[in-house]
Amino acid sequence: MLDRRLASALALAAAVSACRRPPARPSAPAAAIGFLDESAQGVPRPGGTLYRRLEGEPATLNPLLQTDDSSSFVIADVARNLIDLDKNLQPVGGLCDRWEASPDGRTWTFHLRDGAAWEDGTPVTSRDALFTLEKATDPKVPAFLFSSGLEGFDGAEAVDDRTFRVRFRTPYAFRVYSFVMPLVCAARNARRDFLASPDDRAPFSNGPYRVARWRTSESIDLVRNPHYAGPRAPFDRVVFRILPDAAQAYRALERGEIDEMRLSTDQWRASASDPNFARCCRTTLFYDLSYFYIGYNNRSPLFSDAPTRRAMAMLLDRGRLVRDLFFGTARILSGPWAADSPAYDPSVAPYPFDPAAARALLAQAGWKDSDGDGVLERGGKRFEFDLLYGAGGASARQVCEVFKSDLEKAGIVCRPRAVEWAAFTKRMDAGDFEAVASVWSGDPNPDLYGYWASNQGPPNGLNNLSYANPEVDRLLNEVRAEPDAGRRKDLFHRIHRLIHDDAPATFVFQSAQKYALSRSIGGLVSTPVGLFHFWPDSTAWWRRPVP
Amino acid sequence: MTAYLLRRSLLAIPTLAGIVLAVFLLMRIAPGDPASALGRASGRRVSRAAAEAMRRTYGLDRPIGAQIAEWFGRAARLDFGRSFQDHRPVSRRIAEALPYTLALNVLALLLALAIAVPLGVAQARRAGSVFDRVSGRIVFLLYSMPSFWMAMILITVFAVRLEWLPLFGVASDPPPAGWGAALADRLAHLALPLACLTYGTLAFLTRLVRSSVAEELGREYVVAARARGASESQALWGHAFRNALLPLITVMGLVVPGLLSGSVIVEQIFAWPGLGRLYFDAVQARDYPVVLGLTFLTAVATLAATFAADVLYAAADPRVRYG
Repeated sequence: MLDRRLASALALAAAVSACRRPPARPSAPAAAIGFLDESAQGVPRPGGTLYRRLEGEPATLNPLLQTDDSSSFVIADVARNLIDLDKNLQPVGGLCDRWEASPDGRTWTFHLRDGAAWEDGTPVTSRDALFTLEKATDPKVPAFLFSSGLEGFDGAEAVDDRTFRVRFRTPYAFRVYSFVMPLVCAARNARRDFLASPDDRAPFSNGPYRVARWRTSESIDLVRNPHYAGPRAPFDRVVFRILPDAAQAYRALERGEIDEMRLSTDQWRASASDPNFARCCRTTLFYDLSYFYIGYNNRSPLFSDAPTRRAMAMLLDRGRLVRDLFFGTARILSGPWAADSPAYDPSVAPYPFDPAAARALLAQAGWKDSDGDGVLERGGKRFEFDLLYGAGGASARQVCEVFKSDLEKAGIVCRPRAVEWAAFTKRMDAGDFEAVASVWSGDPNPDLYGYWASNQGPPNGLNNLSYANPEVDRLLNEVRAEPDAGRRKDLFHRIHRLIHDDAPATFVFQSAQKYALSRSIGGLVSTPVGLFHFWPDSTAWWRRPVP
Repeated sequence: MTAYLLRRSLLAIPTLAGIVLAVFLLMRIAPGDPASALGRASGRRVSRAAAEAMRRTYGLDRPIGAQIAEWFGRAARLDFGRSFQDHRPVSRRIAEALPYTLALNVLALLLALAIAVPLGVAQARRAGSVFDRVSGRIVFLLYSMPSFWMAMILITVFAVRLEWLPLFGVASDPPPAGWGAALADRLAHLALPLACLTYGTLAFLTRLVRSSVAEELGREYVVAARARGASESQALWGHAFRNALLPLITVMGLVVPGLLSGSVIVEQIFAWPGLGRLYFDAVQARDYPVVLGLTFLTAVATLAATFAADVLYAAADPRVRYG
């Protein structure tokens, strides 16, 4: 009786899911991966509402305290930076229209733009800039995104209402990135605890929109800022819908309740054979500056020598991963930058998948299965380790499982372990691991000193892998002081080759970012930092008539 | 009775303190801290110096004893501190999400009771009949279905295929004009999450009511009541059901606190701005003040509900006397 009930219930469930859409073809759709620039196509039509999706509730909308993507998406529409990056990631005027560095590179002078104003119409002044710098460099203020860029800060002063100077103890070739930084209003925050600022919920706008309402865990509504003097954004309103569930977001996109969302590889594949999707929406794929890597603890007896680490890279069948797991939407890397970064040297070839050569390398490095149990040993230590990855990442799990089975064939025991994020980063920062799999979230600033210099190792720095190469240290220092962009590129290419040879990590690949957008959205531009995080990102989008 | 009530209330204080203390320590024993929890979505990392500064800012560098003492000192004045994330008072954040969770969960419980009691009684009266067996199997099937799966089925049918109901949220943007239409819009948004939260409790309560009523119906005092000429409905509702209420009251004492803790899965799927999501996010972010505030609230609700169940017990069962 129960069996029959169950059977009919299952049949019903199967019927329900079957009528949803035809089953996806197993063959992969041909993927066109590249940057989009529709900024010159069509004449933007003003008006209407743009519905964007947030995957989580922003922690805060205080421009200076932002840490998560959800916060920064909203803040980008509300707060201009002193200097912005354009679609080619070149510095352009933001709140400042001009800036210059002194010949010794230690003093920077900024000229605030005429007409730059807060949402109540009062001008943005040097006082606001000095207040913001004071807060950003205050150790009691958790301004993580900006405090590290201001290292060596040596004070700032106002020249006049619209001009201010910032002094640093040392010159730094990538200083300009430190000023991709928003301002907070001094008058509004004076004489109150900055950690209980009204900016946390309703940042005081100096950008094209201002926050009209934030309904916690539901949505954030932006309306036009009437005192914004810059180019007028086409949409009258922007609504950010907080929609954590990806499957629900996909349905909402198809129903026109949101205009954009990031797709997982599975969703992207399903969308290719979904006629409803094809009618309303399109996808765009591009590579950003992030990449997936497997890092080895260079201080561990297992991974302390380069030949062993090189062998690891040659044991991972990356071609198969790209083909079978990502359906061609990933590209293999050879070094510590994304391929579109000028710092990346395309002449350095990634390690090939070559188990035979890897075995030879391991044998040379002293690894041998002397007790015949199928697992290699060296100096009495078995070659077995835990491979940690942040829980929740589906592709991280899949890659780790593939790596595990590839290593098994070479006599290496790898145990993938999912670790909850806060615990994962804690262990990474402490250097408490043998190997980790993670995503490097790319930064337009190519300076890797904080991540690969030997004095930045755990527990105090972010060189979690404890990588140490004196030549790389020297070059990392040299590039930070090199004023010439061409010579910096040469130095980066040398760093790339050295790190590739030392193989402190396997720079597995970049997987393409996959976005779905309503067909009615015009003015799309994608860049190596994505669809957002540059100027003017979605503030230049507009609603076009759909045939 | 008064002395008993007073003693119970006073006993609740150390129990409450114990619960909060246990959660406080568990949170700290768990690996990770607010700084290491940053960058969950973006993958961005913070330097050790910045993390240390953050620990100082939030007072996490002080001895744990001092932190506990401070928390209890403030909690005694009903001040639960400020969230580490948006720096707003914890009580404000809870007050914002509480109505959504309460509305959803209270309705779900009432709906479940409204169906479970008559259904369970009807099953018990006709124990062993085809109706009892068929409805019993259906209820069992419902009980074993995970809510995320049920949510998917309901969404596919009612929101995507039939387009009768909205996909997510608490109201349309912009809401329809007129209060009647706005109310209907809110109810439509409530329907699917409500269904997802109801069916499991409904199934569980139906089985409970059925088994306890069936057991009581077989007792001698029911036979005696019938022999004295009590009508069928008197025997059922006045005698058997009243005794069958006792296990139900006990279980309600355990179910009611759950009204406050929210449902993470259903709230995530339907983007419902309730306490479940707040709790889940706060744990992931290691937002200790919010976690402790919510723990305190749930603990108070649990103690109050078991307390209320004990008092109701006495009302339902004259044999129970408190001294």
